[in-house]
Amino acid sequence: MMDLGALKLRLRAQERNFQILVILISAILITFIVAPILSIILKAFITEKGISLSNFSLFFSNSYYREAVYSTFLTALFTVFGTVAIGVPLAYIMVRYEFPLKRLFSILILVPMIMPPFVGAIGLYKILGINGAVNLILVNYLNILDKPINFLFGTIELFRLGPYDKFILPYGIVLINTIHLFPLVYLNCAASLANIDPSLEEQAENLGARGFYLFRTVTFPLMRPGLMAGAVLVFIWTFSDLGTALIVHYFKYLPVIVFFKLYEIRAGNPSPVSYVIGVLMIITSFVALYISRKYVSLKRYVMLFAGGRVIKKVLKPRGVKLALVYVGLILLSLIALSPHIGLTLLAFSDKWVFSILPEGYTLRHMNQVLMSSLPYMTNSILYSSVAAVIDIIIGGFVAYVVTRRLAVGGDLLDLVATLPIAVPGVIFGLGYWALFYKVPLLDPLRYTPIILTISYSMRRLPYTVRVSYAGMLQIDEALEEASINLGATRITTFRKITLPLLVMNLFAGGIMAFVNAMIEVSTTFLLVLTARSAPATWFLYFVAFADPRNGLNMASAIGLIFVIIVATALIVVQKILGSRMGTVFRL
Amino acid sequence: MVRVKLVNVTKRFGEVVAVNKVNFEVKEGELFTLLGPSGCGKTTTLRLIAGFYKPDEGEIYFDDELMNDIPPHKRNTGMVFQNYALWPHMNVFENVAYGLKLRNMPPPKVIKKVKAALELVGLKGKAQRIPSQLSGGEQQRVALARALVIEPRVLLLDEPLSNLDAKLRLRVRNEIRKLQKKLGITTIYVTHDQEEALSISDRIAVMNQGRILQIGTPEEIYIFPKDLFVADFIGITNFIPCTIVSYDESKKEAVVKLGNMQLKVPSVYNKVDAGEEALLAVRPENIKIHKLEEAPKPYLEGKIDLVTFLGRVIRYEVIYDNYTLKVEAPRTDMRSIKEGEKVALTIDPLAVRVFKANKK
Repeated sequence: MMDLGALKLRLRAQERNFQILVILISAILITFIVAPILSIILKAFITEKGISLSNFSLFFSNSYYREAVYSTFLTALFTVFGTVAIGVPLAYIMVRYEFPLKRLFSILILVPMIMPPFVGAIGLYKILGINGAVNLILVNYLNILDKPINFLFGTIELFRLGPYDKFILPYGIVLINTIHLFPLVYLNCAASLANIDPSLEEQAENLGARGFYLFRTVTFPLMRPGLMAGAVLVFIWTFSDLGTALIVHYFKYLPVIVFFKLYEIRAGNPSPVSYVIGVLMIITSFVALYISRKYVSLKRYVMLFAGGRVIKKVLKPRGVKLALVYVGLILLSLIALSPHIGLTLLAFSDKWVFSILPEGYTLRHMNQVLMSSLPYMTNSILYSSVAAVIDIIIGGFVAYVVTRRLAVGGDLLDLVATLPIAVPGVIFGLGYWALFYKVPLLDPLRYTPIILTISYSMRRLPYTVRVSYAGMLQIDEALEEASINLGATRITTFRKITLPLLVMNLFAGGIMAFVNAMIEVSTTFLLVLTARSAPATWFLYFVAFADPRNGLNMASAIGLIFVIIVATALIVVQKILGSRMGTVFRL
Repeated sequence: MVRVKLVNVTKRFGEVVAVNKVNFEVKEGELFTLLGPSGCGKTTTLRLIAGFYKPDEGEIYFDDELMNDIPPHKRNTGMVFQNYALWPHMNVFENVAYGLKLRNMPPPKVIKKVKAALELVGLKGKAQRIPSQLSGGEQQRVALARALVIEPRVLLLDEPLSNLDAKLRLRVRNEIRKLQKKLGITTIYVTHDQEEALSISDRIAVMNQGRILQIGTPEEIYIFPKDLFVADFIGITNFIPCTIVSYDESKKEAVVKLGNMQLKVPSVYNKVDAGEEALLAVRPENIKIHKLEEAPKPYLEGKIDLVTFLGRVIRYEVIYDNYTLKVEAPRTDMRSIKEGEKVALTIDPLAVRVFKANKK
């Protein structure tokens, strides 16, 4: 006979341990995700006179800061326009049209995702720069332009409010971010579009609608949830993109101001300006997130339909239409690939001045960089892989708890764990300074590797949560109940039943987290102030400007190594997740 | 109101022939049902009529007008989809008004017509709701109103009841039938549910593997199935192997031997030869059970395997010669027949059909 009393006790102890685990994970998430945000808000409002708006009035009375606000908003807004203008038609073509080489194009247009925009910006120097290939062709060969256009560094004053307030648009940042972020809009729109029940459009046709009227009244409104999600991601990204602005030397940009002001923190005198900017960013992100969430109910409804055959509507374009599709896609692929092409050429170019292509090629930069960047590359890989492991553990756990409704407030846990997708990296960097400066083991100044790893893991947590969540939904709860019914505890069940079924998803989510930790810029630049224990992104930026002669080449060589690592990881994920890969890029 | 005529219509998807040389004519104001198992081509046929597919061969006519090359948005058919296809970003009014706006109707008239249509389907006062706030039955009616409001030449219903629960299905079924009769609108109805088809239709076309096997009124289809598949698909049928004794082709009459019984069977549409093994089809209600000692001769001897009380009737499963036969008797006919008991079975020859055996 089995001792039932002892078994019951053991079961109860395990259930208790489980609850403790829930509380522990919640505490970690609150400390490293919620608390930093709150501390920024607090520090912005608390002054020597108590709670007041004086920091804000100080900030807004300065025309330089005001113009930075305008510039940052304008840049984000125009980047949204740009990415939407490319992403929406692209999604329509890729989802609805069937044509030869479609698979190849579907891979090419995602290439921009495997590189942080600021690395891409370096790659674009010799292509879109003032002496770059495009300008050379336009001015010297085709004689279309009198003088070159400053695609990357250029700015334009859109209008002026009063005598001081200039609305300046740094269109170089818009251009670079549009090239890099249009896949986000495309992926989200394509997902929405593919989910539209074909009968919704057929019904409209049946009642007499067609062509653009049909698109305007039915198709487009139904793909709006995806469009909004993509647009919001692009907006938040651009709004808080530190790297690109630094690379194109445009400093009237909110994240850049936070970056430069951090040196004041080092001197023990944190700038209230940074916190004000932090609050502006938090508000903007949350408003944007709220707007996009309003469309989620619609999204659910569209996908809710049960029954009926789903006959995907696939059109085969012919003649002029097909030609236009090809021209558009080839052009877009070229644009999407241009940063990578530029980066590769730069990495191996011997001499590249006033010519469309380099005048000679060399392995010099690559050799030099392979040695010197090794410790930084090692740091990057170390931090990112530890962060990925943390994400796998926490992400898998959160998804399990939430999908199986095992803890009170599970939805809140899920919300907090996926929040970082909408919280700018700058906020993490700033918040960690505000909260952990001079805190043992967490001080960014003294314990950079620890806090950097934590920041990476929190920033990329949504990837593992998302992917494991999707995986959990595919595991029938009855499989677990059968195990519990036979006498296993929840923890044993998780280990023996759930985990083996979930492991591939977790692994894929972990690699996504790793990849994105590798290319993380904002938190890296904000938390790492010295070369000691810096990761490779930091070194890349440092190299690019430290050596005026070969800096760009060497930075490109580092960037290329980066791209290779990241691309390899993504191919692995693609192999695992297949068509479900899109889920990790969505809001 | 129009006649809808399909002449030799064929539709292929790659290698698969989804609709194979289909011919039928739907009369004005008729409710015509396409009935068959899933994948039989009934929905494809409906979509051919709506214009979502183009036939590979054959012609589709509305009255005498050839429709083959008319795109769906110009056919003026009102279609109700299986999942209702209500647009989630529009409220009930906007959903119903959509087709009218496309017909350039002035707004005051649109409002009037939508109101009338919603009243017709019993949705008065729900114009401002959005689809997700409606119950399944209400959503179904919005879809119906939206299809009817444009005064279509023909109403196309694709499994309109399949997403409703059993009770509601009965009610809506009757409502649709009444509405259709009241408006006198030519209607083509697709379903896989034979009971639904029998109860709602003027005429039914039974389809399988892209072909139409039989067209007829519900009574004809149920009582005189011309095909083994039809006999099997509609209602419950027992199939018992038998031997043909003789066949009179002019009268379509056959004499068959079953056990020690000889039955003279009418309406044998398959050509059969004397001595051939064939299948005898008989419905549960047409087999009678007798106590052995009371049985009129000749009879088949069987053993009761299972007695199931179904409320209105009693269902017996009787083992005869290695076959399990389903037999139904009214509850009032309840006698003390127990499981394991040996019984006599008699069959009404007029209610029996005979089919060539090699077809199955």
